[in-house]
Amino acid sequence: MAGRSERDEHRDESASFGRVLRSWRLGRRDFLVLAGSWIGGATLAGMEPAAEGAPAPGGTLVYGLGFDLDDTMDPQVTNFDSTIRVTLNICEPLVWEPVPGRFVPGLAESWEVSPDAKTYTFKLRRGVKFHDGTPFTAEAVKFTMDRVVDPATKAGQSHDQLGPYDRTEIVDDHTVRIIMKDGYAPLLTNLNGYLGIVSPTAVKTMGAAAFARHPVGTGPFMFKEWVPKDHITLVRNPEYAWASPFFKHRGPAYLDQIVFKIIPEASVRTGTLRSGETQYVDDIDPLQYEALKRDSRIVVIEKGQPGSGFVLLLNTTSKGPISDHAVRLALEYAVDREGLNRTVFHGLNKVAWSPLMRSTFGYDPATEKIYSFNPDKAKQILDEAGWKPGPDGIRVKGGQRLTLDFPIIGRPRDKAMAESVQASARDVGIDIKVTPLERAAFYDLVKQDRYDINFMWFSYGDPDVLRTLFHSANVNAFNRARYQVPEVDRMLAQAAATTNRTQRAQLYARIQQRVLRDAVVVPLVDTITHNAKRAEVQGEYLDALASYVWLYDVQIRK
Amino acid sequence: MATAGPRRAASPAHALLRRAARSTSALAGGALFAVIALAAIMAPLISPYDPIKTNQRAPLDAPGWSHVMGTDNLGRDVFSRVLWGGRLSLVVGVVSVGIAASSGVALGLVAGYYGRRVDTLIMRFVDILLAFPSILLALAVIATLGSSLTNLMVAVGIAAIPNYVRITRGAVLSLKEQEFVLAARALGCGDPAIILRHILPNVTAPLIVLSTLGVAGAVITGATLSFLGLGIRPPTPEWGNMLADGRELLETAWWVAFFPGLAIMLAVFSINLLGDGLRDVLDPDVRL
Repeated sequence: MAGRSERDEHRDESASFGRVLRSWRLGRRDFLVLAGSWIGGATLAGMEPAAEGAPAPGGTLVYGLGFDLDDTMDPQVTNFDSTIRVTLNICEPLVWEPVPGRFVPGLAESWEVSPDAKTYTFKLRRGVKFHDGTPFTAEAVKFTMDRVVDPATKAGQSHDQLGPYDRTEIVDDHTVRIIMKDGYAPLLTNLNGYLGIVSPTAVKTMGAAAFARHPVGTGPFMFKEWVPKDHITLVRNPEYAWASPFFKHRGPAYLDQIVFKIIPEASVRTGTLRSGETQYVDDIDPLQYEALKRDSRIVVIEKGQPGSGFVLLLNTTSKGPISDHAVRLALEYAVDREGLNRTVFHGLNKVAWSPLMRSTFGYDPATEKIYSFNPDKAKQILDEAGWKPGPDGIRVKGGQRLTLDFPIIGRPRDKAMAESVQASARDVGIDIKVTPLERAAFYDLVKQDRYDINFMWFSYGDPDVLRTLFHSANVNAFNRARYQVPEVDRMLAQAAATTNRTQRAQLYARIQQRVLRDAVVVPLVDTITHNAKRAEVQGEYLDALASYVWLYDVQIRK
Repeated sequence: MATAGPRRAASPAHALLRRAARSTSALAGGALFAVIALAAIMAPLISPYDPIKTNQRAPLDAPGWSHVMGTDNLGRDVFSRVLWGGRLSLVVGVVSVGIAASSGVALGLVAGYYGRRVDTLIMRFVDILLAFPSILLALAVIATLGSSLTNLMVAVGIAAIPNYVRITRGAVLSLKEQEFVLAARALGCGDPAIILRHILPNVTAPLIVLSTLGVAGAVITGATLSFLGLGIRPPTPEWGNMLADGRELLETAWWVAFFPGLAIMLAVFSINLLGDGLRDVLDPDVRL
């Protein structure tokens, strides 16, 4: 669950994701709730129905990985989701998250979260062994968490994921307490990935550098081989007997081997699936979607991501016309989200009306009724506010032209989205000046508050992402609307401190409605992961973040 | 050149045309280029659609009767965009060559005529420019000045300066010891008069050839920068950024990238033909 916002440099095109946490540094008070709310696999949708042809244990799965690793396989050091897609099979988490906000046992059999979300107590599974033969105990959990904050580790994403970590206390061999400096709700969500448990013995005897080439954990698969830029091979762990009750079978994994082939080019990756060279691929080429859907040998897997999708944030503090509520309101009606989805994403994402994506806990379906695509209404709002069309069709009021500054990072996807928004706005007489910039220049402009419109995209497992986008404390971070409303700040804090799920959802609903009525955010599309597999592959599961694929139950039909 | 006498009399343009007409490649290139340039200039009159008008609900229409070159990923008419894009691409080519040629020739004349320290200074400056690949230099200029059409032309222009300085300086070095220059000096002409009235007219032939070919190079450099997303603001069409838009669609909608690519190719080809033809008739000795 890497942080995925527009800051991420390495995977511009990919639609995989994760989350960044840094709002706690800005004085957040978190809480949590979701403790122990795990559900059994039987109640979950998403598993493949048994197809004809008996599945058989054994065999090799070739998985086409959409991104290369960042030169490490140490889950605590990496910054890439693609690395975790591999290492989750080797270094298991304390809890798994199959559906946003729902957790199931992993290496922890049960857990408890204090009401202030500062103390997390985990009861650990017994009889678990690392691949190096050493037993898994509370010591390994403490070792893993402590190494994240040890500067010598040079921790990557895991450092953000662990939040305001204070210390881990070993209660007994199989009970461990993780203590936060401040309440930190997203910890459970974040355990499912970059905080996979590593073997302390292996790290100490091999040294960090060697461990990064040969990770050792408790997982159903063991590391075998890594040929950089080409592939990684994992083999079945024959000792494995501690699968989560979430999974469908016990004992060792079915597959003999998994080969992760690194194939960064989407069209090539998709081609290997069609030719049978791979049996599962990340992020298909959207242009081949139709063909894949028609192909009976192939199953396309679609799952919405949680968090905040692609949105426009409208700068409320700008000296230009965007600070006029009527102009912002007109934009809400003017932007053709459906057109944008078709032109930029080939229709594969979903038109959005809320800053929270549909698969996020707390998403309010009532937001879908607030605005619609209605250029005439947009024109009427502008007319009534005194913005009259000038000679070139662009509206003018009191000598001021209705021109908005929209700096973007000059990469193809952002440019295409910006051009689509620009075209919609021009149809109602709003001139959007899109300036593609090189990354550093773009951040300079943002820092100097010299923009009217900004893109944002923030995949995240919890609705608390709204605090990142709309809390006044984050004006110099990701609150690019520079939105500062004390009442919203209060609701965000209250929602974060509410343990009752219903009340919490109500608060988030009010916040979504409020920011939409203030027209500081124009939601564009919800992002949806599109993976694909050969039909003979059965039993894989795409996790809550629609990023990691769990392969323990996978069988290949003969 | 058979004779090296002053040639500033009788309209040089006429002379040039008369001689160019003797070369078929110059004629063919010139004619093709004229057609392309004319189409670009007349874009507002002849383009069937508004080049920035989108049709987002039905993008990527294949070439047919309603859209001869199809529509792009935002549903804009590719033919109209190629026409309008030509205006920018050709302007970038011509203006940046203007920038390069005027400053390059001035520096070359001064360096060649005065020699010594001035020469060393200017030529070391040129060496510095030459040390960077021209596209890198242009990128650096854009990164420093910011991304705009003007800066794009300046960037392409600066990157092309060294050629003009070196050609001009070389020609001046061989001219300045000749009798007619000495004669002018003996008659009391000042340096500016000698440089501008006696030397400059005699170095124009290679410069015309170089500039013509330079336009082709500048069109490509301009398109390259705009392909990289620099210089041209969306939704303004320009051949380079149209090519970039179409790049990802090659497998499914070949026409989005094909037609701007064809336009770049034809424009550059015609200019090169013209340049080669001019070189053959004007200045067979020069090797560029």
